[in-house]
Amino acid sequence: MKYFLWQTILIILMLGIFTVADYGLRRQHEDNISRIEDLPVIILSHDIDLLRDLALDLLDEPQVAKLKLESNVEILRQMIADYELPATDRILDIDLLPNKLEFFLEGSLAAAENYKSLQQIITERDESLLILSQDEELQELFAVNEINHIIRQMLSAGILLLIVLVSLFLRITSIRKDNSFWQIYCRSGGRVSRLKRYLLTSLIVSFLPVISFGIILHLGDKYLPHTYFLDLNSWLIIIGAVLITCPLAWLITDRQ
Amino acid sequence: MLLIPKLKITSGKDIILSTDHFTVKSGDSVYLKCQVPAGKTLLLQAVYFFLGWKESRRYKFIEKGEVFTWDVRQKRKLYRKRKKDVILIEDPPALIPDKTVNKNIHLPLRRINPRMKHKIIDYLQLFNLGDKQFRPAGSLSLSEKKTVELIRSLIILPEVLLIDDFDLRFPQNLQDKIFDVLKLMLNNGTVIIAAGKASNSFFPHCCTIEDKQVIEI
Repeated sequence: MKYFLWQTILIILMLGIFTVADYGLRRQHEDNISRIEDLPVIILSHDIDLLRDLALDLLDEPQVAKLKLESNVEILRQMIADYELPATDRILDIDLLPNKLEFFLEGSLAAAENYKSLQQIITERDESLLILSQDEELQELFAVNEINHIIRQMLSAGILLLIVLVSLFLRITSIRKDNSFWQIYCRSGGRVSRLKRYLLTSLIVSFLPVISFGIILHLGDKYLPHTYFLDLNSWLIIIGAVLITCPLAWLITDRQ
Repeated sequence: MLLIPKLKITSGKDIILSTDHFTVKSGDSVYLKCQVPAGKTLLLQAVYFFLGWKESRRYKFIEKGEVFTWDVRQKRKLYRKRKKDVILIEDPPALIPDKTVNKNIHLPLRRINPRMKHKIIDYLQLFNLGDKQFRPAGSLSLSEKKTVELIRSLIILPEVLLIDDFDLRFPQNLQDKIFDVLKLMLNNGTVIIAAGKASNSFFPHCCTIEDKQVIEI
């Protein structure tokens, strides 16, 4: 009983540390996503029809969040309004002003490969299109996101490994403490199969909840949407993993 | 039937004891008598260890006429593998001190039905342990602990029962009842091998140890 109590306390502590670290990483991830979504990508061209076709293509791409097409006339009117310029034909030759297509990236899908495929779509359409973007900053944010993802995976794996090792260590200690019981049991005519069943039970009880928890965590990570708020989904996943896997381990193992 | 091969008990390079192969029929008993410390306990332990092998492996060993060498340093593995129903009653007693006498008797049993429970109570009362059945086993005397082990063996009815220090361990005033219990086990086909210092007329066959050899008297 004592070992089970220690095991439970240690595992709760490790899960607590993991939750705090995970929260920090998720918050940073969300900040990065916000910054990516704020950075516009501008395509300039004198051919409005080309930009219109390109806009239709880009709308089909999931990594494009919002899109805005402005003709040079609209841009000129906007500049006159914004900077209170006198509305005269001599200010700017309208033909010199390009048309503008501006779009923003979908933060959650933003990654270096996705951004590269977008650039490819644009250059394939017409190589003379001028792309203006905060390329360096975007690449930096993509890299940071990638690193965060790797750190989170390593953290999850590390914590799971620690939980497995702690469970195993405490279980082995408990088995060694019970060694005298099993010696007496065998000497008194007991069946060796019961001892083997006890050892198998120990293995299942040590590994099954952790493996199941790891699988559920991975699936939740993959299929459920995340925010950096400690939302109900995260807690439901952890509680569900514990509530499902522990009775499952008990049902499978020897209940005598 | 119990087939024991040629045994050699060693401690490193020193030979402690050796014996030729012998056979004990089902329901038969052998008494190993030796006044000086000559390796009686080790012999019983070696037999116990040998009987822990699978039956096919044992028979193969015997058919080839090989010598079963048992180094006393192997003692640690003694209680791990056991395929034949063998019980060894020796020191220290195989009882969990914190558990009650009743629980200790139930320990190796797979299923306990009411008939078995009544039997256990009857045997405990036969040996004047009826009022101690719910006491912790650690509070019993050594002879009472050995009696509890014997009662447990009677419930299990193993194929082989090995008893060490037979003349010293059991209460003298209950000798007749102990012999009755042993007769019951022999009638069920159990092979009993006991070891002790003094002679015992209960056992039809008797052996002794001389010059590190087991010889039949």
